[in-house]
Amino acid sequence: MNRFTASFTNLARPMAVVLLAIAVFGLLGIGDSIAEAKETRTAVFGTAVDAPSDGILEVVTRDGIVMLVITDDTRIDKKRGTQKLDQVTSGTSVIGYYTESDDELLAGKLTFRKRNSKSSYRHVVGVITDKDDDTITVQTDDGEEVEIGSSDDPTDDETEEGSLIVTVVETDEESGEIDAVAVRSAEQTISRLNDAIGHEITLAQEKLLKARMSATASVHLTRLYETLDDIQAEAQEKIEAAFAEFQTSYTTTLEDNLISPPLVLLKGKVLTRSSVQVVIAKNGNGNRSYITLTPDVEVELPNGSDGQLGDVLPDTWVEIYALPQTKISSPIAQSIKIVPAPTKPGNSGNGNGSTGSDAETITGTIVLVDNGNSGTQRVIVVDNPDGSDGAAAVTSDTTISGDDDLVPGQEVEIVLGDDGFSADEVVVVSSPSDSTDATATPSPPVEYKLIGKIRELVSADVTSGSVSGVILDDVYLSLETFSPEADPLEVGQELQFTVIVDEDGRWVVVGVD
Amino acid sequence: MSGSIQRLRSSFEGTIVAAGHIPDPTIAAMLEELGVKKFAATASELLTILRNVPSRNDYLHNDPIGFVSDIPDFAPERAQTVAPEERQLELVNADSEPQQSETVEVTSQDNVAETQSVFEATKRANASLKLPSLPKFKISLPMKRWHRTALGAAVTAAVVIAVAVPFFGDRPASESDAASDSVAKALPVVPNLLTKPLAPLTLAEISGDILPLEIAGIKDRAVIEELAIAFWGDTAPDAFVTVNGAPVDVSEYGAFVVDYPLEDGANFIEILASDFQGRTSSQSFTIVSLQ
Repeated sequence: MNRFTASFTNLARPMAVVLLAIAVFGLLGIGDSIAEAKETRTAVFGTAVDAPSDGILEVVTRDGIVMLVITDDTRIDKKRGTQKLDQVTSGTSVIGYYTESDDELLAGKLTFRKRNSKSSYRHVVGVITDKDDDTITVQTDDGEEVEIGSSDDPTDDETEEGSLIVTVVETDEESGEIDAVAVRSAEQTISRLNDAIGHEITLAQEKLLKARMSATASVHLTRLYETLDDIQAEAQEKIEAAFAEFQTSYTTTLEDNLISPPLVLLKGKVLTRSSVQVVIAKNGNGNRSYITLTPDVEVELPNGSDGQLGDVLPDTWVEIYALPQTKISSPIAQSIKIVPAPTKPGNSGNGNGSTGSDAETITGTIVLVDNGNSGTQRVIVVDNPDGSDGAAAVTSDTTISGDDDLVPGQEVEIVLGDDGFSADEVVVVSSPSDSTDATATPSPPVEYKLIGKIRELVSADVTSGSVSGVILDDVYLSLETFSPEADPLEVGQELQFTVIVDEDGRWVVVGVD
Repeated sequence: MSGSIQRLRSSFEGTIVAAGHIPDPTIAAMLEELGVKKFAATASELLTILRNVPSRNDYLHNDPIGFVSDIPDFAPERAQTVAPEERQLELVNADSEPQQSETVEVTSQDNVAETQSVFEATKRANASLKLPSLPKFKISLPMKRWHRTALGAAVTAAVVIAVAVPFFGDRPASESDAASDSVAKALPVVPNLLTKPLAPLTLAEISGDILPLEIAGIKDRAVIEELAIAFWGDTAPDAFVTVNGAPVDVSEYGAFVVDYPLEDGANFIEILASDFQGRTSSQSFTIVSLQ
């Protein structure tokens, strides 16, 4: 052993200890910081006040205005339909999360979207009037002809010319081309409902399914009937053939289920009526329908009461359910309902209040009024009926009507200015009533019963040995707020626990049976 | 109640477990007759069922936009394998280039084996995480065996602690606790489904001007720490339902269940329902997932 190795040996032992300590404590610190970073991430749902400046993005949220610092570590969502950082302007929706560090809010991952940005997917319902390997042409119920790229989804329903389909389509933003993603047909749907009737279902559901089968068959035949007026003469032969085919098929299926044959629904304004025929202008336009009348046709007045054939006068609007003939030009009326004249044509029905096409208007309830950072404007955040937020700046140029003070709870309509954020006008539609639910007693948490075998007792404090939770089969139940007074819990016991789900999503025991 | 159970049966293919003990043997017998398999012996089994609806909904896990024709069979383990691919741990030694050694070359293979066992334990506790392959540590120093052992132990301890701390934090460092905690966080949707199912839609509701579309199990502006969200809904049995453009199966009771994988950060979920009458309803949800 020379002098060098001897001195190294003398030093190596303490060096190794020091290295070990440094490594352990250093990495402990890293671990802590990582864990802490994960814990302090905060979600943000907001609206950009302005374009980012000097790496700072000002976002108004329900909790007020936050200043997000864009760093090199910030990840910007690049999915389709999102915007890049340099495209962010006032009014852009900002969703994502940030972390707090040294009094700064560091943007973690952010997604930017235009306000009221629309999905690239939509549903199209209509009759296939033409079809080849690559495309299908669909006649929608509002007369629009849509050419759609065929779907290659192997689970698609089989279709043919004359099929009534509902398809989800994707629109290419640049080319405007529409491609089907998946297709369902009325005939296959009726077949599925028919099969389901053979399942073990309730009588009520069986009745419901039969009604839906009948309604769908009638809609299909009606749409075929209407389509004849909208397509070229050369295509009519194919549609007429499809009509006959589907009518026969549907009639057989419905009769097998003791359901009346499908009817077509004809709507329009009465032009003339005799005792044996009524002529209507379908939807009030020039297309006429000739419908055979029989003495036993049922007539319903607008108030729902029974009427007579004499009540069906020229210029009245009617909805006629008729039994189509093989030659579909002269269906036989089964019932005539006199209805008010339509106010305006178009589809009805959207489940949860779409924001509509007017991107410059926000309607909803104020959830926040913030004085803003500049001191010259107030910022209000509005909860839209569809769940999304909107925000706008109220400046000295903003006209406020309905109420001078803007406060949370007011329902407002905001007309935005050209910049997409400043409010030109705020109309207070209604103010919150005096009777708020602020004093209402919160409802108790829902209790659930879980029965199982205790697999393990978990103790958070090893020294005291107190049980902080149990593994019931493979589910962890917290005992932090409950201590069984009777017999101590033991592994292997089969017990029934009463549990609630706390704010953190944990199962917390509140009782043991 | 029988209607609700039957609707659930039509949503799942056969395997239904009722959450909540049913002490009344008459009710239990009725539920059994309706096809309920078991009474909440394991709540996590409910989650497994919910996460494994054997239908075309499955492709939503892998391909929210396109379509997968080959639907895998029912596989309980799949609930833990739907994590996004990018979800990887990145705190282990990142040096991929080993240092050159001219004297004694000591690899940490033995220590790696020991570390690997800890990794395995961590992997079981965090089954949805994928750990990167371990690097080789090469140390080039003129050392004796105990020197090498001491340094190896130091490296091993450092790696073990670095891996373990972020996962266990201030919680009890119990593997089973960690595993059960991850399950328990995902569970609240399950008892809701079974104890408070959506009210069956009547013919009058289905036949109105607006196509009904009721969604449960998901809230707009929710912040969750899960890799996927399960939600369910009701509509007409003949309706066509899509989630972000991908169709989902609708039962003869009009019920549908969706297990939707979430990406880190913002997630936009749009549910569209249409029928052949031309009625369309929609609901949209914006969710932030902290993964």
